[in-house]
Amino acid sequence: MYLTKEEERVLRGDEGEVKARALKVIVKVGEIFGAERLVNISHAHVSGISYFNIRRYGVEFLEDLVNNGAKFSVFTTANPYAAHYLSFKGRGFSKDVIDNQERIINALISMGARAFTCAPYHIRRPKVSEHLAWAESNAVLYANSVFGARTNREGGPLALLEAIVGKAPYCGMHVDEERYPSILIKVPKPSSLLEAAVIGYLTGKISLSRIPYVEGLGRVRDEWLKAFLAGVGASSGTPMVFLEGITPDCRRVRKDDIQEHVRLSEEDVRSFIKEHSPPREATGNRLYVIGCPHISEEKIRKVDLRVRGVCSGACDEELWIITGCFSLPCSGILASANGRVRIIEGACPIVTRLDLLGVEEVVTDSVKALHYLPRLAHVKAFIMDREEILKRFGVGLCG
Amino acid sequence: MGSGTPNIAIELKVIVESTRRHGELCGPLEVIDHPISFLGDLDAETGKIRGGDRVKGKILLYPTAVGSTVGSYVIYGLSRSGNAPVAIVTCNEDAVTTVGAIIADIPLYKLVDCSMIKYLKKYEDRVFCIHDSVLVVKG
Repeated sequence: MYLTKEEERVLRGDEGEVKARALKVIVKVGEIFGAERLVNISHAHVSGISYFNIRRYGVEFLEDLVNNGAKFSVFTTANPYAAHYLSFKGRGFSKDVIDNQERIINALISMGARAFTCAPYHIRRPKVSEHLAWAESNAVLYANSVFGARTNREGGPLALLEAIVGKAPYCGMHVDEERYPSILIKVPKPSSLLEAAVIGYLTGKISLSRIPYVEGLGRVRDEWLKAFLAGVGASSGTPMVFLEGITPDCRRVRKDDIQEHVRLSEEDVRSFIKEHSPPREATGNRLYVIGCPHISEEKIRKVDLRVRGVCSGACDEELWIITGCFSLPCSGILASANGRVRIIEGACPIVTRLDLLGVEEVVTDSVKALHYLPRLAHVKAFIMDREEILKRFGVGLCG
Repeated sequence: MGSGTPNIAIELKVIVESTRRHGELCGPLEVIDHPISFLGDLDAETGKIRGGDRVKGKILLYPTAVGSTVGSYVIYGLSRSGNAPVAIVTCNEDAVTTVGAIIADIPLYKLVDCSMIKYLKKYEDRVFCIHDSVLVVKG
């Protein structure tokens, strides 16, 4: 691989042992994927933040970096942490979980992390053709497909090391020639946020590791687009989707060149929703969650928590509305109404062992959450449209 | 050389060199003949691998790594807990293992002919060494 004089200097250890080792990792990974050189990045986004995922050795790795003087050299944000500070029906997490999650957060802040969210595009909007190193599939898909920025689907530790060096291997989605669709998927037009999320999930299932060209989605609003792309990320390995009328890269490609065509039907979407709808009566302690991916700061300010009238659902149920910790320090719980509805900052219920809080089932508007909750949070999961959930709790959320 | 062991010499390619060990890399083989997901298949605390035994002090072989990128931290954890293998040998170069091997300081090699995995499974009780990117029976 070609390295600049400056990169060779860093590799020799002229800027310290930590940076040298971080660059060594990036160069090796680049060699594996056939990168000819490195590229400067302007924003890194790190994943692998929950103590439930990275455990003791992840904590030690991060603290080891801090103790050796590691600092992020570019604008860096991090994924949300586990909801370690929350309780459910009076039950909270052990001291071990709380302490270790705090250690992870503190280590990242001391290296220079600016925020904790799975929607880093709400903090710093990427420009067209800008090079990024983002880990977190929904964010990667949003950056490439909506903004026309360039990032591969990085792994958690790799993005962390790229944040320290400020560089990533120039390969994959950084290179024009690699940004091409190889399958055309015709989808029905969604009529709700939930439908957009389901269409995304089913699109990803068809695409797998291929980049799809999606026709028929139309110019949907931002929240629906987020739900769609988060769905794609949960069921596929693709880093990008060509969205007709939205993706800047569409100008470079010819739709007619795509050989494989697949159609997703309205019936596919309807039957998926039916299959994953919750039973009328909860079968155990039920929690409602909206905000996967995180709701923007601008939208969260508009949430109207004045409970209008009597709750229409079961009145002992609870709703968490999740948003990012967009600027430090974060308070954790932004607002609460009647103890039933809470607006939560910086956390992610998916990467939280909700079973340890006594939660047995979660109803959410996110198909990404539906996919991961049983695997990571150890609870049953069902889907319901956002409007319907908000109505059940008498909460207003404009837009 | 033990009786009944043929003169094995298998070609490897260096992916990650060790920064510390300059001498011999020797140990019994731990051969896993299916893809492994470090997160879930390997317990960093005990060094035990699903479908196999403990990896400490051994040469760990497997065809490919799959699954979460958190797997790199599990490899790092093996080193921290004193359960590191002396080397890792795999057929596919992947980011999760490579990142893990560098931060854990475990030498990593690519097995050029992946069909050798099944063959080597029969010799798990022998001690092997890696000399100049060649895997040989210790003798």
